[in-house]
Amino acid sequence: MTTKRAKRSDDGFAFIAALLVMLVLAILIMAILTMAMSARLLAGSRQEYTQALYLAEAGINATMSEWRWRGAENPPEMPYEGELANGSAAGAYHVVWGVPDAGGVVTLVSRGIVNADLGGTVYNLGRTVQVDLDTDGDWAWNHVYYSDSDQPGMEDPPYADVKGGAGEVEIDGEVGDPEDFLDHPNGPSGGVMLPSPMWDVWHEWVREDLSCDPETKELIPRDPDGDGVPDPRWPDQATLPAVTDVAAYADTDRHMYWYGSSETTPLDHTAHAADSHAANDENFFMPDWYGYDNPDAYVCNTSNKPFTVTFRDGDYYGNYFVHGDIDVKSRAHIYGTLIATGNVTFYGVEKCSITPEVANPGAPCDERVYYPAIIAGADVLVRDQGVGDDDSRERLRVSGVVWAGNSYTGQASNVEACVVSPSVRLGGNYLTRYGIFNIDGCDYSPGDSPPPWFREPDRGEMQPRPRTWKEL
Amino acid sequence: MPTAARTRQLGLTLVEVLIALVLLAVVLLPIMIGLAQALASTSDSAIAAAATSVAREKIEELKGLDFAAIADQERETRDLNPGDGFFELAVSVETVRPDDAAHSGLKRAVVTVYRTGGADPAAAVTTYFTPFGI
Repeated sequence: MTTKRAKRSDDGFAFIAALLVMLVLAILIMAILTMAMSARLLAGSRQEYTQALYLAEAGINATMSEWRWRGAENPPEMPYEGELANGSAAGAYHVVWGVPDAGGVVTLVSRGIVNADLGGTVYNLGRTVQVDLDTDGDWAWNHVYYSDSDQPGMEDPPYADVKGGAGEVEIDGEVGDPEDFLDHPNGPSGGVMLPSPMWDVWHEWVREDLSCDPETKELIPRDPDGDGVPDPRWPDQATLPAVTDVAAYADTDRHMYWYGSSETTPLDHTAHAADSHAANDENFFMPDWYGYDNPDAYVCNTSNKPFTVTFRDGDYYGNYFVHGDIDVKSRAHIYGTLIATGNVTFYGVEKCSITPEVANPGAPCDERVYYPAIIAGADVLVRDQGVGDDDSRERLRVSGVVWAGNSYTGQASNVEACVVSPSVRLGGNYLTRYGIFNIDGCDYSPGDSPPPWFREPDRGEMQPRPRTWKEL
Repeated sequence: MPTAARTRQLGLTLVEVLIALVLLAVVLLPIMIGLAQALASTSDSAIAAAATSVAREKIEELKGLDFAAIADQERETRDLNPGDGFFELAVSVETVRPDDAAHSGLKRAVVTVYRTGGADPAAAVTTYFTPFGI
């Protein structure tokens, strides 16, 4: 019996063994299949995570672009949303932000969404960045100086250091009326455009005459007729040798350029990026208005020796580009624009005036466009106390916008537009107002209409928009 | 009797073995096919993951360029293993908004990664670029 039972038991061994083998194989195969599915899911997840990350970044960049395009004072509607396909999947971004803090810093929070059409939040990915949009204190318009410390809302801005008592600095010719400034059609709430400080943008002749190819260090050929043959430079251009007194070269409607020596060497701008003046044997370049690594335009010239041009007693007609500093002495009257790569300093402001050119002199008064009066790469300094009453010519009278890349420091004087500078220091009896009387036969009464210096020539796509100082 | 019993027992075992072999063949064949597909799928997933990394690397590379320099790029090869040129990568750029003085330019960039010689993308990533953005 024992033998039979044992034999009977052996009968089914092969079949059972086959089943056991299949079981083991099935377990192994299931493991491999599970691994394959997991790998597929992980790879898909990785791709979608990556896409969501860059969708979130796309949302941040799109918001920044839109905000810059609209101007910092006119933010886009929140939430800022958009769709952006990623491969075959639908993608989207969703950006929100909060109230600017005391320093004008705004935090943007962006969420990138992959497979947006599927709904749910599995593949949503948020990315948060902090962006300084500079929405508070550094608006260019805030540099249009006003002050009456006794009035609510008219306190001295932190960047302005006012000498003299309250009421000595006026706006629109009236003292102590905050409405004059705050509700003025060209005031901060008006959102008007400020003339650009880009000397090489707003005046075509400056760009065409002086711009240099940063690669070749050669003048960019002037070819307005597009025939491939360089045309002569502007016929009224006068490139003059080094002089220190402008009187000998003053001429109506001429564009004056002063350079230094005649040496020619390649430019190494990176070696002098922080310098206000380049070395004598290198070409000079303008300050980096836009914070680029490369300057916006090069002054292409055989020399680079900066020096000071002095405007003395007399009348001067033209636009004066000085590769260096400008000094203006008493009884000098300039009918044009002063552009200096360095400083502009007024000594003895008695009966001095700067009256910029009219771009369209034949136009009606309410359509005229005036260029800025002074553009300085560094500092503008009005050294001496003016004399006489406000509307006389017994003191410095600037009938246009003043741009100072570094600082503006002014004693008593009249600026019949605005001062734009990162640092503004004003002395007592300083007057600024948005009106002017009898400029080329036109009167612009404060508050009646936008004064002419706030209208800019049509530059097509280059037309500026309200921007912050940092953006400028 | 003992001889007959042994013969009967051996015959049963042979039948059992044959049945087992047939059973194994029938069951294992599709399983082996599935197994091969699973292994291939695992390989494709690894390639897709690597392609995503290549696309991400390219996006980060574009971030380092000046805004003006972000432009279309023809297919260029990238390695999976050193020197194998396993992937091809192409960049397609569309200007959404031209740049201006306020740095409001916006470009849409699509980075697509292919297996070399292939037409179907192994990975694609799209994003926007703006001057001084992130």
